[in-house]
Amino acid sequence: MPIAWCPLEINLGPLAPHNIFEVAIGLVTAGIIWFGFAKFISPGFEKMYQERSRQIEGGIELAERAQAEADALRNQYAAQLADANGEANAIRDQAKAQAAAIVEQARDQAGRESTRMLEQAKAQIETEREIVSSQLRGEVGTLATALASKIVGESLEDDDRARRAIDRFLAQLATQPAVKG
Amino acid sequence: MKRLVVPTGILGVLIAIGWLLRPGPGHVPTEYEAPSLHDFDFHPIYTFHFGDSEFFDLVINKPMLQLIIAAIVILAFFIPISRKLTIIPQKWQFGVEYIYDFVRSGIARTTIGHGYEKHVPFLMGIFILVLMNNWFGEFFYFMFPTFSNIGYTMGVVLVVWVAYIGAGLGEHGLKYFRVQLLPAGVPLWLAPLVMPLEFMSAFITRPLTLTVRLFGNMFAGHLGVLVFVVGGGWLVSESTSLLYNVAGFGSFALSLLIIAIELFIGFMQAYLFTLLSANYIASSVSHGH
Repeated sequence: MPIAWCPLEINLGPLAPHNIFEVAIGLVTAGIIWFGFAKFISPGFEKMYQERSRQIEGGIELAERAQAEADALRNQYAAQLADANGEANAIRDQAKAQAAAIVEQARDQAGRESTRMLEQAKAQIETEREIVSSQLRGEVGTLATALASKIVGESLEDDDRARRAIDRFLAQLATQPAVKG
Repeated sequence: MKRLVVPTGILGVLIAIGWLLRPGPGHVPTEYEAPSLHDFDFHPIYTFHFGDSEFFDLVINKPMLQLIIAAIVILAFFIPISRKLTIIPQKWQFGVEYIYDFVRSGIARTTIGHGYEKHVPFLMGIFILVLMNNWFGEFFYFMFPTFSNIGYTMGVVLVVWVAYIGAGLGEHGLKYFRVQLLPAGVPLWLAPLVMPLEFMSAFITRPLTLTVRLFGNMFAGHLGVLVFVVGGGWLVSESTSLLYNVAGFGSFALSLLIIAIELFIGFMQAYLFTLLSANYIASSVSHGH
């Protein structure tokens, strides 16, 4: 394959193109393919890849959101549970305190009641004692007078005098400390 | 009836091309002729003369038609598909996506890294064009690897050359030449030594090696296939000795193996060509290494 155009007259054999148009056609074809891919084919593929990754990311996002919601819900439940427990404890404590208070109150009341009853009883006893003592005083006086008149005779039957004498006697008796009772 | 129209049309076109590609009268040897350079020089279907020299003749022949057919088939295959892509792939889409992703992720992303997307169309186009033309060497009806004619290889490599220089200019502006010729970290006093070397390596050796590698592999591979097939054919039809006929069948059998190897080499070279192109683009757009 002699190459007439070659100024150095070196025969490159198969390393020389047959003609310049082989190079040109190779260049143009590759260029057209490049253009075709850049203009028509790759945008379609890139769009698809982008859309796909967007959807996958969207799915992941959705799952993450669901997870977050579930977490929030769980936390809420835990908080509610903790609240309920706290409340129950509080109620129990309150009930205990209340019970203690009621017992205390009851004890107080009982104490007061018993004191009151005791005082009442004491007052009654005092009153009865006074009544008995005044009755007794009268009866003892009468008895003593009757006894004395029987012993001394009828002269002492004047009531006024006798009562005065008895009173004096009894007052004397009352002032004597040893006889107190 | 309508269903028959498209296949019949395709068959008609193929027959017409086959008729155009028929060997010329000078290509039917009457005695054994070892496979040689002549097997890479095709009978012109038509020749346009543009000058005194043969070098300026536009010769329409088989390799040229192959290249054009490849381009048409690729675009006719991919353009409709690129519009029918769905997010959840159908059966056919898996295959197409596999090829596309092989270049997109396997070559472009791993080699170029950040900003690889805008170089994918170029790499994908180059890969599929080179692959298809390499496989034409083993494909019935064509049986010739287009790039074993160095002119076509040169044309494609020129596009690669333009692409990686263009990528560099697009990334760095005119600073690209400084970035490429004087790598970061080289002391300034070494510049007179480094710059010519870098220039040679970046702008001359790269296209040269790309061309010769692809061309050489396809050329040698096709020659190897021819030796076994043409030689086998002659041996089988030789009537002087039965041994020749047996050896001829052996040669045919071996040619199948050679063709299988050629299919692999055709893929390998297309992959390598694309990978190196991606590499050159990566070195053009990189920021200081």
